[in-house]
Amino acid sequence: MRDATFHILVALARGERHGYGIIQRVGELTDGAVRLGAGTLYGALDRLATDGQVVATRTEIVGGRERRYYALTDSGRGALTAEVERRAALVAAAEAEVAHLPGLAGEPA
Amino acid sequence: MSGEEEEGVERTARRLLHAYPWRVRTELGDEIVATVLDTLPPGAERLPWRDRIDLVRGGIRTRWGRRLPLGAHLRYFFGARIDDCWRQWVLDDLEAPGLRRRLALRSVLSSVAFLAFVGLGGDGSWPLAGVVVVVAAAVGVWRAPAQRIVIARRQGLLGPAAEVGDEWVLAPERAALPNLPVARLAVAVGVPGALAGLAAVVAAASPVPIPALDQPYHSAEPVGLGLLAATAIPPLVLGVGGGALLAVNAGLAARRLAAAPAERPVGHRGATTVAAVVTALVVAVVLGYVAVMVLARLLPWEAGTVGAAVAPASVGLLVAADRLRVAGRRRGMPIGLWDLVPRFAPRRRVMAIHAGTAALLPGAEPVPDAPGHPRG
Repeated sequence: MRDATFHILVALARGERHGYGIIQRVGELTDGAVRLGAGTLYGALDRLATDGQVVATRTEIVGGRERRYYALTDSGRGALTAEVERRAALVAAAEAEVAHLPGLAGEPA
Repeated sequence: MSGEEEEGVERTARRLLHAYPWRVRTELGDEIVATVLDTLPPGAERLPWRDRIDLVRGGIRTRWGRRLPLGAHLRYFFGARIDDCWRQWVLDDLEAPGLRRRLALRSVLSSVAFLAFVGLGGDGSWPLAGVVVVVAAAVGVWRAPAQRIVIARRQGLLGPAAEVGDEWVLAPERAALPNLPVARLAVAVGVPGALAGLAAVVAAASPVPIPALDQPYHSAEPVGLGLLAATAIPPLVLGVGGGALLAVNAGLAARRLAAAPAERPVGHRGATTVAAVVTALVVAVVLGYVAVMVLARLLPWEAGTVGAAVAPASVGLLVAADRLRVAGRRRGMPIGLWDLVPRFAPRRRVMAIHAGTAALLPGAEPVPDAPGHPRG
């Protein structure tokens, strides 16, 4: 799963959001390290919608502009959980390896 | 950011939105632009390059994600029916603007492939190859509206009323044209033959070789009967078909001339007077002569021999082609050979339209009383 896709799924974990809301949430979750662009966002959303992992729920008019809200489907939640587990396992394995790096064992982060 | 700057950013974003497929642009365009404006860095006067690239990449990714697999694409290109799961893709292809361009491009690609397969285009035959490609493009552009219906029918988006199910909506009665391909083939083969024949007859009969190009068609010796027969079989086939078309069209013209003035078609620009018919034929002969002279440069033709046998068919085919064109315009849709003979004309039948394709047939409405309608 691409990073951008993963970020979007995580941002939607707590409930529906509109496009800009997803971008803001991704920024919050990564402490500003990841700035999701509108193009990347909608490219990934289109793929997620086709795969049935994200669905558009409702539309609001805010400030004269249409805002469409997106939410995870059951399939999307399942994919997110599986990806989190996969990445967590990868990080755990990596941490075990890093512990063996010469000179780094026991040093503070 | 000032209103003017915001407008500038919006214009740029909308231009870059063309990277996205038409359907996404139409449905989500406003939302994407709004999100782009929301995510602008503070103090930005123009859309930053990073965001521009991001938009284009997003568009390309979206197109890639929605692409037809190569196998399905080839099947669609050659007119075979593809899986129903790609129905939305087909609808988008038929409804998005620029269908003429797309069909012209496909025509050009198929003609280039055909030419490469046949081996034309090298050794000086490239003028003929060029003519074929240009004609293919022109046909693609010209026939796009009718081709849209043909493609929709091939892909199962239109069908007979018997297949009506929950998702189908009945359209008003439209005439079915099962013989249209045959009629078109007859005209497509017959018209060039007619033109060439007429022109060659004129060239052969003229006492003075007309100094157009350096190939005289004025034959000094009488052509042997055996040679004439051997080379005349295809033209004779054309001649028989042309004769039939002539007879059918003579009947149509007679019927139209006999009709009361109120029954004559409005806006009809046809040749119902003798003078107009003669003018059309003279123009056709001149054009045909030029065409034969040009084609003689491109092909090793014995136009004189072929032309003499084709001549009887030429008159009939030219008049028939004109009649088909005029009658088709009157009906608002191209008509087929059998439509000219009322006894053989197919009866109108009801067509069913998939609910999403009503846009393909303007004026289509559900017919609640018809049998098989979901609500009827």
